[in-house]
Amino acid sequence: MSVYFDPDIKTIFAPYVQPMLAVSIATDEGTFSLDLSNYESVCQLSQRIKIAIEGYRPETPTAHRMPPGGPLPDESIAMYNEWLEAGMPEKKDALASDDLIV
Amino acid sequence: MTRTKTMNVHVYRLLLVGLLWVLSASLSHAQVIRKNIDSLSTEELAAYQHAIQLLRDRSADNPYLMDGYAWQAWVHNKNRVSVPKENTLSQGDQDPTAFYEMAATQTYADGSYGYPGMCEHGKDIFFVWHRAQFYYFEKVLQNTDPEGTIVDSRGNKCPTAKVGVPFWNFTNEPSGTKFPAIFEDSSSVLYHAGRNLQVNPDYRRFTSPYLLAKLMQESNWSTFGGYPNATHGGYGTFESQMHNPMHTPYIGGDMTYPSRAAYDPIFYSFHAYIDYIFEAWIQKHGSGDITSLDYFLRAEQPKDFNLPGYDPGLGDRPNMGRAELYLDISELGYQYLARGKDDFYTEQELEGLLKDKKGRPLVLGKSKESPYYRLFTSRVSWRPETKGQLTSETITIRAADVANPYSYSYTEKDPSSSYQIDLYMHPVKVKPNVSLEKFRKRYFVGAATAWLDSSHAHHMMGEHKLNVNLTEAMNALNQNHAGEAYQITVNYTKR
Repeated sequence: MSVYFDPDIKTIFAPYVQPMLAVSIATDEGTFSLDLSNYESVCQLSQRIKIAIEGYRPETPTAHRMPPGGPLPDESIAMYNEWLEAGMPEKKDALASDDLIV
Repeated sequence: MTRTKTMNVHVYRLLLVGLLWVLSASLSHAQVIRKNIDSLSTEELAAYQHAIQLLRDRSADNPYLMDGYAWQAWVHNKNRVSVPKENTLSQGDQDPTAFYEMAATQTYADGSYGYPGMCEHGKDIFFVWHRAQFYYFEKVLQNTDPEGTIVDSRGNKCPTAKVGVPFWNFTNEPSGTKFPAIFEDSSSVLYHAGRNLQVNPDYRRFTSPYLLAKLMQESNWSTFGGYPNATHGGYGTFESQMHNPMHTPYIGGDMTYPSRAAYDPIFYSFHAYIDYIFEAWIQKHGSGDITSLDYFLRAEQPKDFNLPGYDPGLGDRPNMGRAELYLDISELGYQYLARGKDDFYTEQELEGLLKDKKGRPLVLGKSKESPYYRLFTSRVSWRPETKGQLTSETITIRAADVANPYSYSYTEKDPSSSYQIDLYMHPVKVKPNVSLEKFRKRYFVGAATAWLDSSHAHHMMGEHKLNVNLTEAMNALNQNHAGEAYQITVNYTKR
């Protein structure tokens, strides 16, 4: 079964939308807001998000992990990675995003 | 140990100062000189205090002005602030810090969001982010009253055009009880209630000038200055071993918390010295290996002071441009003037320190005092903690080097406040007991502090990693104990 941003990924991130809006993400392209409910925003920072949500795993080097209070369930992380590999489709029948920043 | 200066150091210093003056004279833009705050002339100190007071006065009438004290303090860690179309707040008789905090937490239906800033800590852009913050702060100060025509709320006026942020060399004996005397003068705008004058009154200075000199010898940028994207625990040695413990427990008060630190004016002089250290590291090792210089530095600052070549890049949040803009301080309009006591100890002086009473080099695991214990504790009141939570694990002594380093990684489950770890490497048969001075002195190999608070919402952080590079200690033990089973014991204390 295919994974889409709306509703699959959006549902996973729903509890974390508000606190992340207060954060600015610095990159080598510029400084960005992260709106986890917004398709373009998540696509732009998709690799950063991947590193953060996988950050609880012992072998990962990052000190910055998300979400707070403990890791997402393995199946949610697997679903996110599957979505990345599929080209980050927004919703059924929508085109894949080419708006990737980092 | 008596501090002696070699002729080479004098010559080097004179040449360096001369070079800086020549450089500054040859540049078209005005240069200001950042000096030790204890060596400012009466006029220079008055100008600095006048500029700070004018920033305070601006914020008292409107805390949302970007060139006021409140906003400039928010740059350190108030990433999102609701800004009204028209301000109706005024400080009146309120304490300024309480007023700034109240203003930062308002929500205005008719307003828009501003993004003062998010300080960078625990990564390789720690030094350069603060340099950029100070570039703008200094420009704001200089432009408060360039000609000396404005009377501040204390009734003072003097020209601020040449104000440079004075530095506090916190590795030296303080001119006051614990801080430079002017910061302890309750009649000065630089005074800030709540600092740790009463807590630990026996502390005089905290982080050793010998430790600083040792850290400055490190040519590997990541080890000294931090790791890209907060990998490998993020912190460089300077940040975790000197910067962080100075914030807490030494200075305390608002400086305890990343989200409030810049409310205390001592923040600026403390970090001006850290910028001097950054500059000295660059002069010694070059800037070629500094990482993440293409990164954008997040903060919303007055646009009038953007540097030539400033480019905000992509994205919807404000920034101070790329890190690479801030490497050459002459382009930023300032130089440092450091004299005698602000020099770093030399390699020869370090070697002299790390010897026993008979003149033999201290050897980890063999001498009664570890060389690291002496480095961390010489001339300062900092000591490893004598209580805390101990954890030990068995390791095998081996050769280590840059390609095959040895680091200890601590994972903190509750990153809502600062914590410290002290590390010991000892034979398995030696029971770890940090209440015994004999144990602490002999087996201590390092310490690190994580500087955190619950409002420091850089990331949705669930756990925090703190790494300590022990490659040199491992190699020292490998000289006499290769292949032996040892224990590494960590003493954890909450700050």
